[in-house]
Amino acid sequence: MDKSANLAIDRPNLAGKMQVRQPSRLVSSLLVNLFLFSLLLFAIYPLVWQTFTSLRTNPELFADPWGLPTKPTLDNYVKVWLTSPLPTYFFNSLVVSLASVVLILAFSSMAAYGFAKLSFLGNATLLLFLLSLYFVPPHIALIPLFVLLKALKMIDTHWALIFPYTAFAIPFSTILIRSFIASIPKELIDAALIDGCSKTRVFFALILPLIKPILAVNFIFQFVNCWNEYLFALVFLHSRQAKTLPVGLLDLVAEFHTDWVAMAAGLTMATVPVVIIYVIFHEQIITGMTAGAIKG
Amino acid sequence: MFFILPALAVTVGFIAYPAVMSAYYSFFDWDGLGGSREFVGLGNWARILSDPVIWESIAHNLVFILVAVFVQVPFAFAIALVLTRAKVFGRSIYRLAYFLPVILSVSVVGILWTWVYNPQFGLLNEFLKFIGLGSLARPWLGSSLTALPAVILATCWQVTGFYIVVFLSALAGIPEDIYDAAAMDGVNLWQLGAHITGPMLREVFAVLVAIAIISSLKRFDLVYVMTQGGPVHSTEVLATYLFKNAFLAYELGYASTISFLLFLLTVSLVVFQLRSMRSVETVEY
Repeated sequence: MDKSANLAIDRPNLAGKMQVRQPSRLVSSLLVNLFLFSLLLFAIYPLVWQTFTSLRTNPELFADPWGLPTKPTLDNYVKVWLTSPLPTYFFNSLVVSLASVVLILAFSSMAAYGFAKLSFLGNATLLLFLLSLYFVPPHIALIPLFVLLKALKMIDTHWALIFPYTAFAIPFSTILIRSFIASIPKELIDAALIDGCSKTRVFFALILPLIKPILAVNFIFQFVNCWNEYLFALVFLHSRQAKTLPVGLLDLVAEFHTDWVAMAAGLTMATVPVVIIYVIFHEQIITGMTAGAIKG
Repeated sequence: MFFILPALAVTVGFIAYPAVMSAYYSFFDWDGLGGSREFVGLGNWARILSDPVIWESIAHNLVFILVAVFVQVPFAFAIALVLTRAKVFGRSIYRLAYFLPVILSVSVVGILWTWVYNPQFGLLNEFLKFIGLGSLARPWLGSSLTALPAVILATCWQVTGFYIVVFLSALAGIPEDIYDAAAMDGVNLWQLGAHITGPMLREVFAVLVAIAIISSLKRFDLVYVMTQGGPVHSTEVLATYLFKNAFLAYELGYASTISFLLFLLTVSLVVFQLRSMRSVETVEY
């Protein structure tokens, strides 16, 4: 461990060098921070602007698009909430997302348990099959799915989204949970089995409590995914009564036509819950969304 | 076995079966409305070869890929490196804010950016007027010359945060003594990224480039929300053209063939990319 000894000796020197170069360092550090901060403004300003706009009136907006809400009003919110189907879209999104997430978690944690801890014929092959489905893009299934859902009389019902959302989330979710369950010591499960627990009981009483953290990650991030899904919702839903927020919002734009501030209020109402959930649960959401890329 | 049955049933029914049927439909001329379903063999593929819009769409998908691979990913790496190594105040706030657009619904992002480009009150035109470049103001999405770059900029806005955050966690996994050694050798940030951490994260780069290619080929939502592929196909991509053929023109057979083309393109590009990026020796640490 020669290296660490060297480091310990060299460190004070390094600090000395830094002090000499302080002025130029200060400038470059200032520039870096300024750059990062302007990028941050670029990332969030459209949302801030949308919120500002929703508190103004149309004449105000046209007079000065970049202006602040000097006489903030909630009229736009009241108007959109009372006269448009936005509440229905909200409710639909909530029902579809919650139902899908519950099914996703139930099915994939069961499957993950099966794949990780139970031995049955074709275990490895079936796992590989499920994994390969992870790479099937939704686009290629879109048309046959439409034909299938039509035959099942599900088009324009919430089931038309719940089943495909569940199906497309299961492969990844199962892989994620499986690696978690695989790390549970075999002895623990064997002990329970020897004590007379059935496999089902082991799953509910032992496995489920242990995998709570990964289920939480999965819950939040799958919820956000379902909440935002657009392509399936666009193709499988047609009526106002059934539409979810992403497609409903576009109808809203057509409905309020040139009433920009009202639309801004609608958009803000649709965004605020997501942003709040994100700020509270960002660790879970980021973990879930980037898990595929990081584990590679 | 009982435990995996529900998952298997749902995925077979709603992914595997439709994917196979898609290949089957591609041999037919079919409107999906109960009209005649006529076997045309490879006729749909011949039609693809002679359809100029297909080639235009592929070209636009390519532009999306190039921007994603050569702008978004390297830019995200640079930002992540600066955020990790430079003296930055409020590091976690930056991470939070940069990722925010990623979790927004595409319709919100699409509508919002249509307003940024709006000729009457759009933020972009107003900004140009403010800095004295008012002559450049134009209806960005209305002209076939500027519509594609405009949509691509909106895409960059939404997705770059994803790459930044992945690079951030990858960089956090690099042992501190490597940075110490680099600092002792007087390495600056640029050299650090280009010669040390960059090569160390080759695997992460390979995966992110694959993701960039796949998502650029699948690109549908933002384009459809903002321009519907117009004006005159100037922002058309394979996915929007597929959607229009299937659900506006009711050419289900032809649209299925396009979806297959999309799938084949994705697989071949990603396999080629992963082979060429992973074959090079990776740095161990």
